[in-house]
Amino acid sequence: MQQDEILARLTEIFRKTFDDDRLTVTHDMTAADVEAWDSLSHINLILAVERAFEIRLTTREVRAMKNVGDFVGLIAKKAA
Amino acid sequence: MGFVSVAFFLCLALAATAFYAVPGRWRTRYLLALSYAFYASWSLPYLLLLVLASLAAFGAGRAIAHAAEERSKKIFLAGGIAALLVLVAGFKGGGEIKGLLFPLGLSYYSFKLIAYLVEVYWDESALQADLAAFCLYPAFFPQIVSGPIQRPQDFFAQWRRAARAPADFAGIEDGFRLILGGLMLKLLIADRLGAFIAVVDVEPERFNWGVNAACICCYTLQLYADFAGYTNIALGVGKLFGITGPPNFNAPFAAANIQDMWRRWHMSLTLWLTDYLFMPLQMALRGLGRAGLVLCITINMVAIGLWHGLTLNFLCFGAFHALCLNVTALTAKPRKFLFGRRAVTRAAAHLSGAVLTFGLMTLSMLFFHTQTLGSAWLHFRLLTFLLPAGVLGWGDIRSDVSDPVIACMALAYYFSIGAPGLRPVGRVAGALAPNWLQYGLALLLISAMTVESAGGFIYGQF
Repeated sequence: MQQDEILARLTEIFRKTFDDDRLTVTHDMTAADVEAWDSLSHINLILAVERAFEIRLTTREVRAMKNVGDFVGLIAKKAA
Repeated sequence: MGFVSVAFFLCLALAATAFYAVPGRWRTRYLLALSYAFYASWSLPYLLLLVLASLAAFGAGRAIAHAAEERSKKIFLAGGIAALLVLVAGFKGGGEIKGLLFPLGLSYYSFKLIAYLVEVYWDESALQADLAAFCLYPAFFPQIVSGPIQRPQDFFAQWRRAARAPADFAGIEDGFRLILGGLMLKLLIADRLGAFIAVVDVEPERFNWGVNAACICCYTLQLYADFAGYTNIALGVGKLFGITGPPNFNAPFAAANIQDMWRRWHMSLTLWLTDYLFMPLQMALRGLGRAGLVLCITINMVAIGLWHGLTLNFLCFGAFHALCLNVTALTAKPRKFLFGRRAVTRAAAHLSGAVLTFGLMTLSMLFFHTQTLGSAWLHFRLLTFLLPAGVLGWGDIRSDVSDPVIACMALAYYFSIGAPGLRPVGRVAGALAPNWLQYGLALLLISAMTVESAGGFIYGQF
């Protein structure tokens, strides 16, 4: 799967999870850039991504992600 | 040797000056020896416990990183965490029964060591190969009494620079300013509130409703001023040695709800629990939906309560906050729907939410401040008119104790909402008076207005 395609699907997931239709996801975006992205909503995002891309993430992988770019890379690796 | 003593600050001035005269390759050992000496001035036998716990965690970290199989890594990690938790729980639970003193800073340094083991398990590059630098991490004397709980990678990265760098005078002045601010919060505000609480606490049922209500609000405000004051001193002392620790408070009572308040209160502990307990729990229970969320929040908040001590009061404190946080989390969407659409309703909801948050925290302080559930219940009944109030009023309390209470409460609350408007005033003062005059005035205030009963920090006991 191409990174651009992952990013486009992530934007959809982000908009639905954080209830904000104006969100556009970028590689260097972090939780600090999205008001509703906190420790409680983080798990909803992980669940939505796991379902959409049919992958299973581990705590270690989730913890290692520093920004959306890392997330895209991880999805590309797992969904390959 | 406590942070609030002339002897401590004399030793600190000598030790910090000598630090910059010591060549880079000796600095780690110098600061480690200094930290161990600071600890030994409190207890020599418990220094051995600190050294042994550090060596065991150092060994466990290496075993986790070098184990070939995932299963072995997990066994070393679980063994290390279990040993440290048993140590803390043993002293918190059993120590009291056997009459043992609780080891100074154990709750803080054991959590630092657990963080190190988990980080090494998650990413082997977090391994620290230098034994002296590793031992300095849990023992670092500015943080050992009551934190803040710094993360290992952050500490080691800063230490690599600080161990070689020449004196950074701007950083040292920042540290000095933090120490002065912390001392003022502690000695001029927290200890005055403490003196008032001590008078009312002897027999609260003899005082009228107003005095009791003010006293209960003082539990929250004293705790804030005492712990935020301590944290500022700890951060300031750390800066004298080139280490910037993590913050513990970020205007907690400016928060719009209690969930937001916990992101701003004792942050180094709550972020530790978020990363090493809440997040792994959430991942494990993510299939359970809302029930999983409720379970994670409840376990997390009860853990925060019991971290302070294995007593029924701290259990109730944690459970009360678990209830508040669960209600906040589960009503997020309806609240956003009701109040989030217009700027006026958003502002009104934020303001009333901030007042409610202070009220809920103060209510939970009934469990936190008192030693038994009976005592908490007595205060609750006095507050809610279930018990007739006494006849003693403000006038029956020694005037040097009662006079400054309202002003100190207002000041503590002002700082706890982030001291709005202080920056512009500070800029004007900075332009009018040179720094040395400001520092001199602060020192003069501290030396002239400290109450006789000034003493230890509340969080030193945990």
